[in-house]
Amino acid sequence: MLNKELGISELSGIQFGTIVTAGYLALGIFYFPRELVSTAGRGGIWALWIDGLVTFLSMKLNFAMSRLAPSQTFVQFVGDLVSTPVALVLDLFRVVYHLGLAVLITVLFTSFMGNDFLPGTPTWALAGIAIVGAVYIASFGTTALARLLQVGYIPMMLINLLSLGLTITLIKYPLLLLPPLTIRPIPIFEAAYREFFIFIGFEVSITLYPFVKPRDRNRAELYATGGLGLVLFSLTFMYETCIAAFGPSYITYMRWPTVTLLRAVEVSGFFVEKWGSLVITLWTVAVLGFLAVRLWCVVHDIAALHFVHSIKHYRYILLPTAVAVYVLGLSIPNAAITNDLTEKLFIPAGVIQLVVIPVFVLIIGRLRPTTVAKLRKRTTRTSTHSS
Amino acid sequence: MIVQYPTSSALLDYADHKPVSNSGKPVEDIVVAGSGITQCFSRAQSKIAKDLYLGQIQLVDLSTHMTPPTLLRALVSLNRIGTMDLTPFIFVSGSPLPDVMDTPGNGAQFPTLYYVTQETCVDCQPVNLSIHLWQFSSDALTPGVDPHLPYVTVEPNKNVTVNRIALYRHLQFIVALNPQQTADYGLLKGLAQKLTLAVPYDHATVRDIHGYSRLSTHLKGGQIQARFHIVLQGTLANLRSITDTTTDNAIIARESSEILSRQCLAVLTFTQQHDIDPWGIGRMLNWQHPDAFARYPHWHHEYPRVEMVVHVQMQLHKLGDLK
Repeated sequence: MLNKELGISELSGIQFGTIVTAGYLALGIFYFPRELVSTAGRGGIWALWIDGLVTFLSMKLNFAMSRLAPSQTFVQFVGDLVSTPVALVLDLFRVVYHLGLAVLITVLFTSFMGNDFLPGTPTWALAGIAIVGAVYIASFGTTALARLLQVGYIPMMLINLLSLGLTITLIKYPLLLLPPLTIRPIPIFEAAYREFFIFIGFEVSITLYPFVKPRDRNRAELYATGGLGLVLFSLTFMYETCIAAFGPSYITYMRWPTVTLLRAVEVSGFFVEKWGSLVITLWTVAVLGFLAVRLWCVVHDIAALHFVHSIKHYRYILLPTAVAVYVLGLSIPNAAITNDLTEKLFIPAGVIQLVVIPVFVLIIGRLRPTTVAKLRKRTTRTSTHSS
Repeated sequence: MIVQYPTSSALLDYADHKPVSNSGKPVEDIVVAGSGITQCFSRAQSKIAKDLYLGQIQLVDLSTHMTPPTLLRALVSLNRIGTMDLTPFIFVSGSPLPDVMDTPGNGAQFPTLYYVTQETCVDCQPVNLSIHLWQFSSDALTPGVDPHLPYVTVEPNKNVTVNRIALYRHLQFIVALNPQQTADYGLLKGLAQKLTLAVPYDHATVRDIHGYSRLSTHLKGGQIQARFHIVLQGTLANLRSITDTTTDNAIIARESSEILSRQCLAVLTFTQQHDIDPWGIGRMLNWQHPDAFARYPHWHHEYPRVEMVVHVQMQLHKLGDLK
């Protein structure tokens, strides 16, 4: 599959890093850090760092897998490597999984907006706004998506981080800033499992990898890892301010702790006194970004399944996918159900996606070096063609 | 519940960019009673043709007669209003809400700002007593700490005084501290600002006392010890002699520290007698020694037996000295 011939422009390293970063974080951010604190108490910070480490390692694994055939997406090359039926199962699993994540974020966004900002607006309208926005962003293809995230997502993250700095004024108990030294491993691991949700979604990288300019690939990996570092830093910051302002017991009673924290910030004298509330509405950018990245990913995976023969049909697949997400999203009545679904289905599925499949594919790759060499050869030829 | 909405004249003034106070009352009140927030709100809505909005709650006034189940229900429903920030101020009063609200104040235009200044204790020299709803909820829901609130008194001459602290055991109102105890309370919590103290030595006065306080818990062979380390700064005034020596300063600093620590200990003992822990000693024990705290299923049984240690460190400045 020749990228240039298909009219796909190529991404720079930082664009790749931004899309991959926008591909996670949005789902778990609403609950954060409730799951950590309710399971592990003050030890939640260790759980967060464990999650960060696991994500870092699985990111490495996924990049190693992508490097088997750098110019092809997972769905394109996996059929040649493992047999076609196995590949079909893996691919379908991937499509369903990404579709599910898109549905979850739609439901979360809808209930969050409905609860906190627009109580009178009907659910279908809120979900519709999110999906139409995401479809619009995704419809222009990879480069447009990347550029939009670059101008929307990165400033949003920065403003968010700076505003979180204001919450330092709410800190009542600096003692709580210190990570606790009495470590109880079982609750910490349990919390790490339940909070892993926040990092799920970056596996979009294995579909995205071939779209990066070949000479930028090493830098792209660096940017994605840097993005993870930044996310981990800001999550740690959020966790610390939240727990030091509210105390560990109160957080477990809250629906959206970080939202409450930002809304409790009052900048008296500034012309927008409720600056925190304003910043929370900017989270919409993160949600739309996440949803757009998901839709993009699902559509590319479906297209590569050879149900249709070219990525030129991108927009025609995008629309039915979005409709499916919308309908499924409306069929879930509230955010408590998504919470349950996440714990029982999506975290295990995410672990399979992020760890089990890469390990499996890498082992097969090691066992069949000739096939990998053939793939590489084709890939190199592809990239010479395309450049 | 009092529901307020802007009067039409105030809206007209606002549209013309005129100050609101020109044309009398900026807001109109609807006073309603009911067994819950929702009921009150729907009753208020039925009294007026305008659309009311429950998102902007400015102030929560609790009654001293409120039973814990009622208070819990009210707190839960307040916390569940998703559109509301949990930042309104909350206080407790023995007088009915309309009486409290009817008292004249200079803050009609900025009710939120008004209560920030109003809730500084008058007699005990400004201890900032204001409590946000989320702070109260946090204390009420955390084990090992009892919530407290500013106690608003309506004087016979229709003036509002806020110079006392109401103490709760869980959600049950128990007792209100007197102004002197409230001042010491401010010291122990590290909230005190501009406190004044008369010292017997040379009839000196130490004014502008302010500082911070640090609470820590220690375990000594099964005995829990709570240590308050209070670091204060004050300005020396009203000395009879014209010049003061270093020795004088040291003596006055020691005496004032002693007086203050004695007063603070008295307040701590008072709360131990009533078995109320507004300091969060149990909570601190939970954070510093979680295993020890887990041994006590009922913190209130243990609290009166805690050994209290108050250490006051006073640093004096001479009047006119640069800090």
